[in-house]
Amino acid sequence: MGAPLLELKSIRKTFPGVVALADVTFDLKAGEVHALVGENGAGKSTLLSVMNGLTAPDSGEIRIQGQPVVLSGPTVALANRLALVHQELVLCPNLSVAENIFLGREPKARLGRGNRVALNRMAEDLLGEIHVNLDPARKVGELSLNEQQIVEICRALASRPRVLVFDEPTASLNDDQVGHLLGIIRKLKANGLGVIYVSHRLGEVLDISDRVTVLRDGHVVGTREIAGLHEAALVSLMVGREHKPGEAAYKERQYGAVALEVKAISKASVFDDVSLEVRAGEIVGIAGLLGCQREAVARSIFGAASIDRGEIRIRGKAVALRSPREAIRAGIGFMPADRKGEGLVLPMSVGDNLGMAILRRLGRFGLLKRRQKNATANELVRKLAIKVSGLFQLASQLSGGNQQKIVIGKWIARGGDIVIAEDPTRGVDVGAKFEIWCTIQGLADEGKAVLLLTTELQEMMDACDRILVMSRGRVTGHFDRKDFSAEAIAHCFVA
Amino acid sequence: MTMNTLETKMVEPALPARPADAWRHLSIGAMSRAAVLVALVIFGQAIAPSFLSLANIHVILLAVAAIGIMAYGMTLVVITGEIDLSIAGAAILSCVVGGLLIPTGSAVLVIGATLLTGLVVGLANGALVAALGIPSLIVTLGTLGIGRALANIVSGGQALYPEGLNAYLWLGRGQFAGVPVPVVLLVILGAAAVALTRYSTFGPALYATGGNVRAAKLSGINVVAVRVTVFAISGVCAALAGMLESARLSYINPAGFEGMELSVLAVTVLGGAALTGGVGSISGTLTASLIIGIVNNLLNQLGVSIYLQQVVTAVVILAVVLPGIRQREIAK
Repeated sequence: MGAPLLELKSIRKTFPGVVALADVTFDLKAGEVHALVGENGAGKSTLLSVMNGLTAPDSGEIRIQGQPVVLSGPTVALANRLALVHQELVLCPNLSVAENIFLGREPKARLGRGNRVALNRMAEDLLGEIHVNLDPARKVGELSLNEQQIVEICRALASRPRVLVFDEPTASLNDDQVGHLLGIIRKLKANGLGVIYVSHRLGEVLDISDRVTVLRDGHVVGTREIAGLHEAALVSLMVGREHKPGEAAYKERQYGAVALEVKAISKASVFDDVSLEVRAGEIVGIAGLLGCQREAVARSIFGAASIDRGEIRIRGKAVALRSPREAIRAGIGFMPADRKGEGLVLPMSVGDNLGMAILRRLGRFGLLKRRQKNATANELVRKLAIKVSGLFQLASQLSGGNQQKIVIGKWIARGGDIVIAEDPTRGVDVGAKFEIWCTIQGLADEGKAVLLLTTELQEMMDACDRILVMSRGRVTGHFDRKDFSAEAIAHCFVA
Repeated sequence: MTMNTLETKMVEPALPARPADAWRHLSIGAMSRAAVLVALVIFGQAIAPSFLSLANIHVILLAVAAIGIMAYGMTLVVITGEIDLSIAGAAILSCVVGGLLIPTGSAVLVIGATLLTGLVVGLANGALVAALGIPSLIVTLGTLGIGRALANIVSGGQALYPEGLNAYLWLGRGQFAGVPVPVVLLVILGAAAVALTRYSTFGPALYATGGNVRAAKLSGINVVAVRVTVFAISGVCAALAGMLESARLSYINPAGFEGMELSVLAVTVLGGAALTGGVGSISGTLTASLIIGIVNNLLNQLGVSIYLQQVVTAVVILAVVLPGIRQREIAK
């Protein structure tokens, strides 16, 4: 079989104040799926960007089929037939699905329409390969997050790579689509490709991989054959301690008065007659499939979108929230699912991001009370165990879990008594997930009313006191914690 | 065990707000600007012994005062991710409107009307951009044309002469403690702008609006107010800079400041502000205006033609800006 497809030898990479990769050795054989797992900030993202040529290692060697290479950029990586499916979507919203898939490698054909037809046909073939029914002529900007992810995957496949790297490919896919994707990966594997699979969903990792390498704090903790490996063993390798499932478990709380009451709100052709209430100290989830419009409901409650009919009451008082600012003043905090696009200002420091919702409070005659700002930020960093080298560090330099903690911290600083959390653990590793759930439970323990929207039903059932189910803009089910059952809830998804 | 040591390390007393080795964290852009500035000073002194004389320093600073003050306003606008191409129009219209009051003989009225007109133009820009959501490139290109046209209509195309208005003329030609007044204003306004961007609550709101407007809105920042404010400041800066120039030349030229917006934009970009928003600093902009001022001063001393000067200036801008942009790209 010869040399491995890809070998990384003693890769070291440091950033100011942080050793991202200490001494990482990794190899990938043809026809295998090699998973890469690790906690928040373990160095996975850095390792991937080294593989993709985005980051030059300080030392170490990269070999492709036995030949040492210098990957000086993504195009060089591609030329070596190494393609990456990005975790974050890097698509052009103004171009079509097909144009995005073949961006930069459009077939050289006649000008104009003929070319487009050919492009669409090629895209259709690719989409067909992964059994997805998506019109290649549609603009990517019109697609849902999850459909965009599919385009991203097709784009990597279009380069016909020998090594394909999946970075959290399933973060926004539903179970069906995950199944399809894993099917595709098996096909690719059978064709002799090497697949590097990065995911926080350990079930998938165990399901699809042949080997797994665990990273922790920039070191390789171990590379194991999957056969005979259990999830619990994998988790303890990742976090370096025994993992107790259910540790994040919820404890029963006393509820207070109704903090948020939504009465029969409607928005034409989006959602209709949605009612819900959240009491102080209660976590209420809204479950539903893609397109159930629960995100639209959340945004309307937060004043970021209008409603046509109905009423929103906060602490018993009817309010008309015309903007997020008014909602925030009424005591609502909102943690959007799209951390980078809506939650954070990436080119701004950790300290500035944490203080963003309390600027007025941090001012005296318009001057910034720096000491208080830094003290507040420090307290949050410590409380939420955010791993940063200093408050000056830019939000863009942090891993997903730490970024999410900043989004949460911003609202803890604000101290409102209603919190809307959209997918707070998306793309976050096991350890950070646990910490984030503890934090959210802690918010409810303190008497805040929490409205929760997550894609993973199991996590929602673990966290919530009650769950509402939405389907096509309507509430189709209502469950108390004692009645939670995945089957019953899923049944309401399509009701 | 390793885990334990790591955790204890994490609970350090307080995280630094600034890195201990701050200079290591300076952007490549800031370092190359500083290096170029130092190199220019050394080079200047080498080829012209009078380069560092007080008189020549005053000449250099006087030459960059107006452009520097305009660039402060432009920097704030660019940090929010917008652009203000109307500054030359705002400057000339403000000066002409102020100039109409010259017959009153009151310098206060003339100066007040000038600054007020700049404010109005800025507020109009801000309202059109922030409230109506029209791209600032289009809005300010429009107000640039309108400002110039109105200035010509109002003045009948005739230059105005602020004769006898000593307080007005003092702004351009006077001295304060031995320093030319425009230079004093350049320094004072620079300090005010630094305070605004770094030591006020407006600063984080400004950078957040430019860095990610959606996140800023969802965090309760009044992005409309931020945008209107920066355009208003830019309008007033333009009016003030225009007035300093008019006072220095002792006449208000309704056809003046041709192409000024691009020079100011060039200084702003040279100063490290990114047209995509969220990045930029007043200190960078000030350094950049000094670089441009010194380059022009040296080229004048060497007797280089005005056209060649423009080429050299452009090359300097590219040479300084490129490394910083490359760093930003890599950081992504």
